[in-house]
Parts: sequence; structure tokens; C-alpha cells
Amino acid sequence: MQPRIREAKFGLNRMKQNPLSIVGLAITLGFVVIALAAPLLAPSPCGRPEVVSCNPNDPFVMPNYGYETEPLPPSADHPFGTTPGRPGRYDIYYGVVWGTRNAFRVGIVVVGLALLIGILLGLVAGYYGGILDEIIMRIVDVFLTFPSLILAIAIVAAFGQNLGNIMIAVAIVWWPSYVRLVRGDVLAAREEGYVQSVRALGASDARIMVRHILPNAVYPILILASMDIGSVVLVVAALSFLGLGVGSNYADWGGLVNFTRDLIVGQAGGDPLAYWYTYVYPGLFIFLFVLGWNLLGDALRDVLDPRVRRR
Amino acid sequence: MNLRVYIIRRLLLLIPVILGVTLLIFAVLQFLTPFQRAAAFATNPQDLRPENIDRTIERYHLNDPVWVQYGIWIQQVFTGNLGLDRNQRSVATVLVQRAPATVELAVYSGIIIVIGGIWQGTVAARWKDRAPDHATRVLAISGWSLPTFWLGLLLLAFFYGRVNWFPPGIVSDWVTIDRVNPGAFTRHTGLYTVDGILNGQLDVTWDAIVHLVLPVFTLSFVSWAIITRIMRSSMIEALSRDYVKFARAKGVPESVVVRRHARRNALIPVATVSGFVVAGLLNGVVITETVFVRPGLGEYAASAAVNLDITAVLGFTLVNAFLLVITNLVVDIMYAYIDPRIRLE
Repeated sequence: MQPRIREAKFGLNRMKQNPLSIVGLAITLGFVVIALAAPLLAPSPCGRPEVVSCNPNDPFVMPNYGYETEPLPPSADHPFGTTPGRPGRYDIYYGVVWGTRNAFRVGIVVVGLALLIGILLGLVAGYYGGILDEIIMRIVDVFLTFPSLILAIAIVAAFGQNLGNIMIAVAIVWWPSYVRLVRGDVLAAREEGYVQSVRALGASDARIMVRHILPNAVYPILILASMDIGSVVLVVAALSFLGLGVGSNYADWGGLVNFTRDLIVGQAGGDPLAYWYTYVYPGLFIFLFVLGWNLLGDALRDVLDPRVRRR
Repeated sequence: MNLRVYIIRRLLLLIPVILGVTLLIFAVLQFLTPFQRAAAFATNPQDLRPENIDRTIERYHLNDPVWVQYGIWIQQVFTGNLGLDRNQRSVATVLVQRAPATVELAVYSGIIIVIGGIWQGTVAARWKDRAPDHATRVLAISGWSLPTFWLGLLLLAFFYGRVNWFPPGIVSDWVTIDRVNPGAFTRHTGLYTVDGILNGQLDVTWDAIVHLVLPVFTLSFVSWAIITRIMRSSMIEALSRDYVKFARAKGVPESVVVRRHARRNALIPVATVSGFVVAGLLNGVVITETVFVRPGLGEYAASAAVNLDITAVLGFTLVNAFLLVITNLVVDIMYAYIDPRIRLE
């Protein structure tokens, strides 16, 4: 245990030296707190007289405050204002707080699915090689031939817009990069002395892969995964913005930005800067969330990657 | 291995990829209703009339085994038939009509990304760990993290909504009403910027440029970061090489060392990410065109997806996959041409 603790301390010190790592960690932890404390930060206002419609069973469904087309500016009741009332006047503060929880859910589920498929196929392709490797990698090539967002759009459009399908669609475009990464690491590790010796000791293929090869490949995977949580949320936000999200009343950052398109592009006269709160707050949440994970990924690389850390 | 053998081998490798790409799209088609599938084959709105639908299903063998359907479908695709969209227009025709608006946006953005990214990467490498390098890093990380659609909306809110310098759309109404519709403006290429010059109507070119400024900036901002980062690291490596030290030692001016000696070699890794950049552009076009209401391919695909017009979406997806296949092919061949080590492997 002693050397592990020493290594962990060294890693923490490395992290402290880079101010950007601290910023990334702080932003991400901040979002974790918001997501965990969502019911306290934005309790459901169901039953209050000004709420037109509300779903007490699903807090992700945003309560509606009316149908007037003008958005309400920030006030004590609505700290970040409301969206314009088509299709409903939703409280932006409520939307971004519950949207944080939604972002974590989407990011973790999609990256988790992609990791699962990627590690499984990457291990098999790299370890066994031959025809199996050839088949898996040709399939990976095919998926990588599609621009990711466009393939996700096609899948969502074909199979229908709901949260499950959106997450599956993004996972489908995401897994191939993990197969490539894991396979490369396995190929390099396969011929190493420590793998050869456990094989000589009679360890099974599964044991060698899971207990000996995978732990050595885990850091690059972790670094990529942490950056990808941000990127996945970015793609899902883009889908929602295009109108391929879960639904208009669902607490979702991209969907909130989508409401304001008409205020900026479609409006006849009027200054869209007067409605700044309708697009600045949700967009800022997306930007900071993705930024936080990107900086954290960079920091993890400094800390975890043995090739970089001792420099 | 010489270059010709390399190219032939690379072309042969295309066959499984194209087979896989078409199979994937075809697999998605299999999940659709018979009517939607029929729309993917039809060439004429009459084919989809209720009284004719049985005949259409018969003609395109939609009741036959899957592999027969795939054979018929692939034949249709390679003869340029992508079916009919929800407005009963041929998807292929619409894509061809809308292509110029997208080409204009993507090509100008591509040029800016490549030249700008290489320049900024060089500057960051020359001033490593100094102010220009830090500024570049901040710009690159924020470029990665900014949602494209949000950046576009912020720019529109100010530059269109407040000061009205750069409107959305592709050209102003007067261009359509006074020039194009009366026939006073021939659309040789479909690119308004180029056609304006060819017609000798520079006011149209200017109007098209004004409409391009914001979308091109938005689309470039994100991909710019990729090239800058790669260029920076490969330039830092090149600058530490012996031939650079030698050039400096013999008294070659620093600017010549950077431009002639280091940068040429540092450009090779940049070529490898160009496929990546093109993919980013194709993705970005969908969002950028939607934000700026630009009637190109991406806007067509996005609105088709929202209206569940699957034929149009799948046609667009297939075209994009083919574009990326061709890009990767060209990149690989160029790469082998620049760097002999690749083809000697």
C-alpha cells in the first residue's frame, strides 16, 4: 500500500501545480453538487396558483407558467427568467438545475455503454487477432466513416425521439473509438514479459485479459472517457437544439436554447439582447460543463499517464 | 512498394467499407414501415399513390428476401436515385440543388481553418510557454467546449439583432426579387460569391459575403482548435531537430528557419487529421445552417429529421459517408506521396 499512497500524493501535487486542472476539478465538482442537490435547489412548484401545468411524478418535466409569447425577465420568482411561452413559459433556473442532472445521466450512460462495448470488442480483437480482429476492425471502420452527429440524427429520426433512443444513438456513434484505443493497448501489452509469464503459469485467456492486460490500459481509457462525458453532452445538446431532443417540456439544456431561436432569427423588430437571459444561461451551463470535463481530462493525463507524469 | 501499388491496394480496401456503409443504411431502412421503404425506392410521386403502392412494392421487389432488396436498392443508389422526400421531390435532385450553399460555407471555412490553424500553431510553438502559447491554449480549449449552435446564436443576437450588420439567410431579398427571378442573374455555378463576379454584379458578391461572415466564423471556430493543437506539437518537435539547430548555427535567419526548414516537416502530421477536420465540418454544417437559416444540405437534413422524413435523412447520411470515404482516400494518397516512409511499410 505504501508505494500506492506515495504515487497518489505525487499525482495530487502534479494536479495542484496546474491552475487549469484546479479550475476543471472545481467546475466539475460544482456541477456534481448541483445535480445531487437538484431537489433542494429547485423544488417542484406543483400546486402553486401561478403554475399552469406540472407533473409531480417526474421532476424532469418542467412546470409551465403560462402561454404568453413574451418571456419573463429575471425576478425573485424566476432568478434566470422564463422561456417565451411557446410551447410554454418554463422557469429557466428550474430547467438548468434539473438539466444538470439530465446531463450527468446522459453523459454517464452513453460513455458507460460505449466503454462496455469498446472494452469487450477491443480486448477480443487485440488479444485473439486474426480473422476476428479483421472483422471487428472493419465494422469499426464502417461506423467511423459516418460523421458522428449525422449518424446520430439518422438513428434518432428513424427510431423515434425518446431519451432511451437518443442515448442509444449517441452510444452507437461513440463505441468505435474505444475499440481502437483498447485494441492498440492490448496489442502492445500482449507481447510484454509479464503477460507471457502469467500465460506460462497457465492462466486462462479471460483471466489474462481482465486481470493483467486491462489494468495497464485503464489510464488512457479513463482520460478519454472523462473528456467524452463533455463531448457526449455537447452532441446531445446539439440534437435537442435541432429539435431531436426528448420533448419540449423536458429539462434539457439544448432544448432550452432551442426555444429562443424564434426570438433571434424569426422576430420582426425588437432587440434580442433584451431577452439575453433566455439563451445565455442555458448555453453557459453547457459550455462550462463541457469545459470542466475537458480540463479535468487534461489534468488526469498529467496525473495518470506514466509517460507524461514524471517529466 | 511504389505509389501505384499503394493506391491500388488502398482502392481495394474501399470495397468492404462501401459495402458496410450501404449495409448499415439499408439495415436502418428495414425498421421502417413498408410505405416509408417504398418512398426510398420511388422515382415518381405517382408511385406512392394508394392505388399504385402495391405495384411499386412489386416493381422494387419489396416483398422479396432482404438480399434481393439490397441488390435492387444498391442499384438504385448508384444510378442516383435516393427516393422521394415528404414533399414528393427526388431527394437526389434536392441535394444537388442545395449543394452550392453548403459548398460555399464549407470551402471558405475549410480554407480559413487550415491557413489559420497552421499559422496559429506555428506562432504558439515559436513562443512556447509564453503569452501567445497560453492564449492559443485557452482559445483551443474553449473552441472544443463551445456549443456551435450557441456561439452562432450569440453572434446573431448581436450582429443581426442589435446592429444588423450580418443578417441570416443566404442572400438579401433584393437579389432574389430584382436579379435572379427576372433572369438578370445567371447562376452558372450556384455559388453566389462566384456567380456575382461572373455576372459582373459585384454587389451580389458583396451581399453573399455579408451573409457568409457569421456562419463561416462559427463553423471555423471549433475545428480551428484541432489543427492548431496538432500543428503546435509537431512544430515544437520539428524545432528541436538537429537540422533546425544546424540551420540556425550556419546563420540562417530565424524566420526562414521556421518557414522553410521546420514548418514543411511539421505539416505532415497535420495532413493526417484532415479527415477528422472534414468530418467536423460536415457535422458542423448541419448545426450552422440551421442556426443561420441557410438553405443548404445540412438545413434540409435537420428539418427533414424533425419532420420524420426518413428518406431524406438517410439519403443525406449516405452522401456524407461517401464524401468522408473519398476524403480519407485522398488524404491517405497525399500522405503517402508526401511521406515516402508510409508506402515503404
